[in-house]
Amino acid sequence: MKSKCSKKKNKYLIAGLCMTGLVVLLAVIGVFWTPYSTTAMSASERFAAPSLRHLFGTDNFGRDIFSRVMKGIGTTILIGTLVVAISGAAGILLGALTGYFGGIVDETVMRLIDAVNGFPSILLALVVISVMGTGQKNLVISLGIVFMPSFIRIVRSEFIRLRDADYISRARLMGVGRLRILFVHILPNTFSAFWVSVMIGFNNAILAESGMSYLGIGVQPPQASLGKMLSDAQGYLTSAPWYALAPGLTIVWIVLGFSLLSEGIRRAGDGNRSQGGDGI
Amino acid sequence: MKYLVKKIFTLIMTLFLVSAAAFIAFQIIPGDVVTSILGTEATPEREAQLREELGLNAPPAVRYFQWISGVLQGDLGVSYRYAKNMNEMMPVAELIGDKLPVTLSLAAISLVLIIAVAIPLGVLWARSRNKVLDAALGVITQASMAIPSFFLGILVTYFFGIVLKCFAPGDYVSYEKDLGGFLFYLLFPALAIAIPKAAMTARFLRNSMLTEMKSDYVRTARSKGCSEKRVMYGHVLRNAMMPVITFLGMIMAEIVAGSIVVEQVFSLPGIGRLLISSISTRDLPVVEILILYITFVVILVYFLVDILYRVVDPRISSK
Repeated sequence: MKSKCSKKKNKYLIAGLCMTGLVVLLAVIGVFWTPYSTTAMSASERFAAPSLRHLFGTDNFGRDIFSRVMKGIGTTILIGTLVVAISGAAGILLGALTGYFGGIVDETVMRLIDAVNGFPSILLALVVISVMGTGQKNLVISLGIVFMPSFIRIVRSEFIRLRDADYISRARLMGVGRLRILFVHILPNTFSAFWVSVMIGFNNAILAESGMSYLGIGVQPPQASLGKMLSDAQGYLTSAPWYALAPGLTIVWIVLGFSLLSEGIRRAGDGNRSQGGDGI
Repeated sequence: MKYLVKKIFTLIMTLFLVSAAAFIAFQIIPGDVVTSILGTEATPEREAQLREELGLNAPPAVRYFQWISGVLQGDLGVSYRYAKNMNEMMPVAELIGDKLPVTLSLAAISLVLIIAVAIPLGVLWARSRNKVLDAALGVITQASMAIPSFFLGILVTYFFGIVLKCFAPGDYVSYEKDLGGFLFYLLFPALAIAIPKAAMTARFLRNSMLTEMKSDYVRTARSKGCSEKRVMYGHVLRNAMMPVITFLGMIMAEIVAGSIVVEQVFSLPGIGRLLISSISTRDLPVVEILILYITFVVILVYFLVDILYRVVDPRISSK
């Protein structure tokens, strides 16, 4: 039984690592080099079908889609990372304080989070964007705000679990300062739960970003973005279906890779507690 | 009964808070409404006149109560962008009115599709002793959950619209002209919304059923000689459906959000498209009302789920 479990766990982790590794590699290469210029137009090569010359074909301006997808992955991953960094940092701070100290502040924050949590993230992001205005910076800030509650919740529950643990009361007895208990003694022990939510948050951020760029209120041209490419491609679905498939499948690939990775990490973290069930 | 009153009170309080929050949020928006309507070249007299017309001179608290009492009486304000004719501004109510049925029908069809697909699939999956089927369903649901709804919409358009020619993409039929054609056209966007959600629900139901199947009462039912069918549908499924109901409530909220994006893909003239275009043109009265409206729907759905949950599971109210 045990060997079967660990075999399964490895499968998720390995598949996830391979898929995300490829994506990150493409994005990093894309920062320095792309096969073709992402803005060079070529009238003679409009709508070239995928071939060895143009791996994903060309678009309505004759631009190489593969190069643009590489750049687009970069944008998407950058935004996803920034969003998770903002909401994760805020989540650690607020989650640690509310979870450890409890009381009225905790109560208020939790009720607020409950109220916000029921709402679909893209809807909330739309609300924040409509208040702040469109654009890439506002997109990052609004998604950062939107994903904050999930991080606060997970960090808070870990802090509540650990605040009465024996080793913490020992530390308190020894006269360790509060800040040190919070961030040196407890925080590192919350990381296994935290990393899983980072992966999930990253995925949701990518989906929200590409959705909003698709709607035209996220990343603005000329910046390459997978979502924006999709909305451009939609008009040419009949003549050049590959134009839509390339950015679309790339998004699916990224999301799938990260969800496999998070599942793998979750199972690895669960260790013997894993019962083979798939949590949602 | 006492519970119901308490719940309704919370519902009203939440709506009040959301409306206040929405109003305050749009108060602090940088940029002057009057300048954005008239442009920078307008005369100060014209600006002052418009300011008076829109009631922008009163203090914020007074304006909030004017606005909210108007909303309660069905006066949703006027749009900053759309004009009825040269002299009259477009009332938001009229703007929203004919778009509402589109979004609601889309949501309803999606929900029906989700339930129709997810429940049989979940049961089949939980019962399957076939390893290949089990793994295949796992991969398929995992993959379909990773597809964003707008890309799925494009795939549906391509596959059903262009390859199979089941419908003409972009050739939307109004429900006033041809109800059958309208519902048929909505089937495809609904499919784009439903597929990932159905996958999630099926997965959820399967896990819930697998947990229930390990319970003592199932063993008891088997040992007293219940048929496998009766054990499955009479005992396991009924109990496994409890958490699924709550889950479907969450899914309803997701459907509303999904329809915002998918309406854009299929160029459906619904609430979502109006919201997006109003955000882009900063037509704030429309955005405010739409947000309030969507919030209302989401809260109402949660409220109904809560009630339904108590009806289905009497154990909760007796506790």
